[in-house]
Amino acid sequence: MAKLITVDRARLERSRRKMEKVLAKDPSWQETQKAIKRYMAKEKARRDAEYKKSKRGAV
Amino acid sequence: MDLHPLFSLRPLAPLAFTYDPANPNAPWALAFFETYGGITNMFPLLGSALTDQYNRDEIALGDDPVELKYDEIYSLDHLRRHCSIWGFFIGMNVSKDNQYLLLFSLRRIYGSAWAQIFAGLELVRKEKLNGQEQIAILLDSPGDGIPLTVGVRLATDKNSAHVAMGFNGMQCYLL
Repeated sequence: MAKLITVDRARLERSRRKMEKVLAKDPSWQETQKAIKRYMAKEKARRDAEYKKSKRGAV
Repeated sequence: MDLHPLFSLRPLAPLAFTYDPANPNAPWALAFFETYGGITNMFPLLGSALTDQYNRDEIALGDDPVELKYDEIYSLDHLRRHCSIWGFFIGMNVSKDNQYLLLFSLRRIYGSAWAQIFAGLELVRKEKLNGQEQIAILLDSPGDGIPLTVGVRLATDKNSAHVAMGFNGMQCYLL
C-alpha cells in the first residue's frame, strides 16, 4: 500500500520561494535551467520535423 | 478507466520526453532524475554491488545519510553532499486545475533507513523504510511549463553511517 503525501499550492509556493532564495543565485543551477529549456525546444522541433516528414512520405 | 502515466522514469531510463507531435495539444512532460551518494561496490557483500543494481534496475545510495533531525537544505552544494534522489519535471499543456500523482519506488537495503521527502527544498514528510516501499506524492500543479523538483534524501535515526536505500524508479500521473 502506498503512503500518500499531499502538497497543496500554498506549500508549493513556499517551496518555490525557498528554491529561489537558495538556488537561483547558483550559476550552475541557472546554466542547468537554460540547458533544459534548450533541450526541450530542440527535441520538440526535431520530433515535429520528423512527424511532418513522415506525413509527407505517407501521401 | 485506464490511467496512463504522464511519464515514467527508471534507473535504466532516467529521462522522459513524452511530447507526441501527432497530438500536440495533449499534456506532455520533460522529466529526469539525478542521484547523489551512489554505492559502487563491485562485490555483493551487502546486496548492493553494481551488477546487482544493473540486474535489479535499481540505484543503491548509502553510507552517507543525514541525521533524521536535520531537515534543511542550505545550498546546491549541501544538496549534492548527501545521498539523495531528485526528480525534475516540467508539465506542458497542463493547468492549475490539474494535480500530479507521483509514485516513488524505494527499498531499504540495510541499516535504519529513513526517507526525507522534499517538494522543492521544503521537507514534507519523513518515512521509515522497512522493505520495498511505494511513496505517493499528490501535488497541485503550479501551471503550464513551470518546473517542479521532488527529492528523497536518505536519513537515519541511529548513530551510524551504515545505511542504504535503493531507488527503483518513479511514475507520474496527471489528474
